[in-house]
Amino acid sequence: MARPEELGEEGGRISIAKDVISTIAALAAGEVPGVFAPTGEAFSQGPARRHVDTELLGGRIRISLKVSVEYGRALPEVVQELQEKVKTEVERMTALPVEAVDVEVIHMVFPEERA
Amino acid sequence: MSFFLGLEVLILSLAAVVAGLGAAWITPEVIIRTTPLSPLTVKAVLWVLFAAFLGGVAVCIALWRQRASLTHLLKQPGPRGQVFITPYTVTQLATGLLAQELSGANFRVHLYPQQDGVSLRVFLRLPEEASISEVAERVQEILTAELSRRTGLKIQEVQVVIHGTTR
Repeated sequence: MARPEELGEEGGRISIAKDVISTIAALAAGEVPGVFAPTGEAFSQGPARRHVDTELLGGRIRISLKVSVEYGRALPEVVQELQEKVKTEVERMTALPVEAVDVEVIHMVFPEERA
Repeated sequence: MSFFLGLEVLILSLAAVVAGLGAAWITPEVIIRTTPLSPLTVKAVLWVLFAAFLGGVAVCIALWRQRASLTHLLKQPGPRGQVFITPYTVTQLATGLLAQELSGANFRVHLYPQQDGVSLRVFLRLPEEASISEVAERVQEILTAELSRRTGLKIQEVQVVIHGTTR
């Protein structure tokens, strides 16, 4: 069972389940050009979310993603864009600070695999 | 240590223990009663098995150390979090780069850890008419520059091993 992360007490308590944060991260990852789930499918699709892991460290979020990157793209640039996008989206939608977005590139997706 | 490598080490270690204990403790009477072979032969076989299993354990541990060191090298801390490009991804990328350049040639790429970067060994089988020195130089050029640019890794060395020709 996912443990909910909690926001401030003012006006009531708001809990956000880890799964929700993982979903936001997966959807954000899906918007980055050239980034796919490790299976090669689009990141926004349901099962792809299992490749996103969220943990809370002293009130800050650490997100780990396993991804595939389209062949031909420079990995440092893609990863940097991915980290930025995920951090921005999660912070915008949850108001929780994201400490780090760890990325593991486990596979390259070649054009023939996508056809 | 990965699960399968760990399992292999465990099985080989147990087999080494059994063979070693057998070689050390089995008595000639037991051997004569259970097998037509001479006690000396049986003991020699058991010692050979013991050495072979120990060698297997040593190979697995060396393999694990190499993988661990490669993994450590490929994990790069960044301002927004850690980035880990798996050895498989780097190999895939190198293979993709070479496939564009070496159409018609058979090759495979291996990745090795170095002190502060990685080295690559490319095993090539070239068409008979190809100029070995030109191809080797081009392979080194592509992998050093392009792989480094696309991964951010320091490529310390690219070794090219020509191990045959194709028609």
